[in-house]
Amino acid sequence: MKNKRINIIAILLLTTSCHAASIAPLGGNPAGGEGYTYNLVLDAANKDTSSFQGTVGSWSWEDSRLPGDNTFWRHQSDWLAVTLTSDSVLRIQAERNDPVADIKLFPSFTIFRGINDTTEGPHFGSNVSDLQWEAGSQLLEYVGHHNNSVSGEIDERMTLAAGDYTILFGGNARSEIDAVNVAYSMTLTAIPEPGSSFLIALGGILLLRRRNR
Amino acid sequence: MKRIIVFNFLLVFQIVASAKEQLFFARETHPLEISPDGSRLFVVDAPGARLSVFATGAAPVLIKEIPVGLLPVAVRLRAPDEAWVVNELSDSISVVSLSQEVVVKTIPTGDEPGDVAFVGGKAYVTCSRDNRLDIIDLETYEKSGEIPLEGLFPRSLTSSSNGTRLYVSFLMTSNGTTILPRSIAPPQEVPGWANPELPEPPQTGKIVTTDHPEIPYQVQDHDIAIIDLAGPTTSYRGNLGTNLFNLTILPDGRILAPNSEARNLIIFEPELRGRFTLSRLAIIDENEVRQLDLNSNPDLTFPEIDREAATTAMAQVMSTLPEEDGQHVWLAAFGSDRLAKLRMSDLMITERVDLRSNDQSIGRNGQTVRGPRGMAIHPTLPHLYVFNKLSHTLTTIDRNRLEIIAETPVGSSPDLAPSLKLGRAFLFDARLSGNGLVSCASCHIDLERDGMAWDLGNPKGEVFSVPGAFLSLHAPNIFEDREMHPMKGPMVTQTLIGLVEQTKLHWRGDKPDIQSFNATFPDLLAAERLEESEMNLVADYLNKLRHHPNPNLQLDRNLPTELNGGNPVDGIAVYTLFDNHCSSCHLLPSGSSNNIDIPSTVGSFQPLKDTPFRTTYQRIHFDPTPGGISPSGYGIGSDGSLHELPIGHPYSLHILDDINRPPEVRQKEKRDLTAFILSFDSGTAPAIGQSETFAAQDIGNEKKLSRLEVLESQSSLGQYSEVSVVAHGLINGISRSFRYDPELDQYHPDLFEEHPASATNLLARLSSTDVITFTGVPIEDAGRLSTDRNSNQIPDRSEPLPTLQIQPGGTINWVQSASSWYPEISTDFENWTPLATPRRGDNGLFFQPLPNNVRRGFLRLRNTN
Repeated sequence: MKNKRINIIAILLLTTSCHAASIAPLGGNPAGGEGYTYNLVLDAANKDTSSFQGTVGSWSWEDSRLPGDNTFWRHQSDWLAVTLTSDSVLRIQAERNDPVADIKLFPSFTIFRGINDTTEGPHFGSNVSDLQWEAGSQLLEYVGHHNNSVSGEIDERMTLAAGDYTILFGGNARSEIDAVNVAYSMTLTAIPEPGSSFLIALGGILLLRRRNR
Repeated sequence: MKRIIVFNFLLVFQIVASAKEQLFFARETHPLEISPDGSRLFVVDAPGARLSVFATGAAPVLIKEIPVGLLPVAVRLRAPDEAWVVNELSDSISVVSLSQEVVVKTIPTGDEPGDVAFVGGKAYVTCSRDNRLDIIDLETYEKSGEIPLEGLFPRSLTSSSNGTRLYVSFLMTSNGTTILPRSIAPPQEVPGWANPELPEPPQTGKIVTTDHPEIPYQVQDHDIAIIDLAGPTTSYRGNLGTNLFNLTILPDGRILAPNSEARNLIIFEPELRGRFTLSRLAIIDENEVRQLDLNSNPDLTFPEIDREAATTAMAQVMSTLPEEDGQHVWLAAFGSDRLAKLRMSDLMITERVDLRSNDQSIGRNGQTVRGPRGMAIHPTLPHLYVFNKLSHTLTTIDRNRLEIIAETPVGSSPDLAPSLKLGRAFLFDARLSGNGLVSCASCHIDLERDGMAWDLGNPKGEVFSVPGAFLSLHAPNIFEDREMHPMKGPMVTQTLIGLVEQTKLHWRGDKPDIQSFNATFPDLLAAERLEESEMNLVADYLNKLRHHPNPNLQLDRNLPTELNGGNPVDGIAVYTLFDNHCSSCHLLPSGSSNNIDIPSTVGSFQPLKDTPFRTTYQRIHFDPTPGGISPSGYGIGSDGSLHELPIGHPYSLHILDDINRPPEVRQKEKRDLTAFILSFDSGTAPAIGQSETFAAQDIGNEKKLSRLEVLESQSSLGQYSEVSVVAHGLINGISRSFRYDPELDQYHPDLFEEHPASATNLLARLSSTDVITFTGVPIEDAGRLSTDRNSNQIPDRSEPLPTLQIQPGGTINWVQSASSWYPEISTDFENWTPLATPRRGDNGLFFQPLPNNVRRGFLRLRNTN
């Protein structure tokens, strides 16, 4: 019973021992990338977190009047390049940040695996499938999305393997609502992926037990 | 810098390439004036850019045509020998010496001047687009001040008999309505008689009265400005009408203001049919306003049409003139070609004159529709003279017998091709309408706007579609059918000028061409549909109409470097920046791609066409913010609810609000972009109409010479030039005309046998009493407006002289091609008098009878040029 208690304390200590690091995003493109508003590298081990602001169109993430289904406005959305140095849970918090209360921004996003490398190609695309702007350009592999059309703020988590990712961020107002640009605030936090946390904790327990012997 | 210059060149290239034939529509305000002794009648000839001088008598006879500025719209005698002519396109006053028969001074004014009045040693000029009066000192002939006015399009002027007050009428005023934006307007109510198959109508704005509880701003109802010249202080009178056409002061001090009232609180086309405007006369004194409806109330028979009332209807009264006794007033109905004599004691119309009463019933032609717009009464003869704008004639009426004595052309040259004149006539002729009350021009006043929004939706209609591309998405080859619901909601009246560049018409782009508006005749005017060939004439005419130049541009057509704190040149870069997408839809040069993009791009609930920016500078006067005060209830955008620049409509395809960009940069970009939009090229070169007058003492005037140089340079753009320069004046006391040849850099004279001369040479020839005026004109009109008035390639002063013949019975004749010649008679071969008897043309000859009392004398022909 005593060992069990020690193990729990050890796990807690190990999993909370790292202080969250605040990372300032870099404006523009990562190396080899094109079309990005920000790029940033997040280390889940440090629980890196990064906060920034931007402006997107109120229906930039999806506009039902555009050709095709689930279609976004390429240049009215913000594009974020995120490199995760380890498997992580990426926490995405966003809220509209406009003094006018009834401004319509319903933050929504799509995550693709890979970094976009071109500014060519059409000015719209699907927010629920892979993207390749033109032949020979980098394929952006659809990973997942969050479609929000009810709230001015979101707080979502996605489990992602280490690697490069592209986040398409925009609004999903009803198309008939007045088109406006809306300021937003966003915070991205890399949290150790639960599997990784478990292994760390397990390692810690084994180490403690070995010492106890 | 170099890139900007190159871009500017490209811009000019596009603009010039888009403009070929150019017609301008004149809004005559005070088109004729009679001399105090009645011997001479002075009439503006807008198409000919001349002041026509008539000798009066049994019938007026044209004796002189004096070149003035472009689009003369008002003439006032300032002294027995001095007439002031207000030039609407030239933005100037031509001061004419009547004895010398020449312009002796050109005084620049504000944009689109309309009228002039002389009070207390000063001249006051309405500057319509600038919403102000210019004050001109009558000793120096120079501008000495301005009076800003809180009203739109000040036009007509009159002064009190004691010279202490000045009255100004506004053409576009409020009628107490405004627009409730679609974001807060209630859903459209579908009437019970609507097409049951219709889907739910779009969310639109709603026309409401300005005292509506959800309207947080004020709309001024300023119909007349009253200027107490002692201050000067300005006060306003309202509730007189929507569009005030003129002002006349009676001997007893009452003011007459003929006006039309827009009934735009009635919604839907079927409900407005035949009755959407009322023609009225406001009679104003210090304490009260009496509004006289000049026609039967169409509501009493609606929805039936009152064809009986139509036979005497008076639509769009644009001129009033009191008889000498002040007990009766003549009214001229511009839309109906009728005059009426109003008894002021009981406000009863006692007499009517139909200006078409002498027409032979052989069908309609270009001369059928008169368009009476100004009147003068002879001080001793029983003659009433009527200026007919549309037929370009002067009708003389015997006031005792109420008969038409004569109808005389205003100028010696044709004003407009007969087919174009007929096409134009359909737009103004209220006699085509069922009740006789309305025409296209009832809302498109003088083919422009009335400043109102109208809900012309038709719940009986059907949904239809028009394809549109996704230009805002840079996908010009992807089209989608834009569905058009017939209940389109309120939309602001658009101008009919400048349509040639537009391949889709209406705010929604739902009309493919002008001809497709034929349904408006039966559906809105309660008229018969026009024949297809007739609609083609309408389209031919409208497609030739051009806007006035944008006064914010420089004389050489370049953008100014500063406007309202912004730099328009820098604004081009903001406008064309990819990230802002302005030019993706608002394509240069007109500002419209003629595409119907997706509604969400502009925050609309229904499809809308990209609108041109040619005249945006004319329409920024609406402030719907809480506490705001506006001279009109309508701003920009399709329903008039928008007001801000540079982001004129809800829009997000730009980076002007990107908070990651420095705010000071974004603010400058917005100022620059606004300045560029307000300087948008109207499609007409600013040099057109601009004049410089030189007397001998001005030969070394650098400022004048510099402006002349710019005018000449504007005609030196080779095939892209749309400007030419003409010159008129006295050289050694003789009236002469010249036309600039950019290849020679010299002026061709109006004589074959004379060599071309440079401007310097012409100026060097001026004697101490000579004067010459140089004017920029549309290139295709240069010959007609200068050395070759009849366009027969023979200079005017080298034309063969006509022969005068006397027939047995005392009638003289000469060839009709010599239309600029008139007969004079003398008994002593020294004193010559114009032969003022009615003239008729027949079989290529003019015939004119000698007066009965003439037994012997000499006759000669004299030229009016």
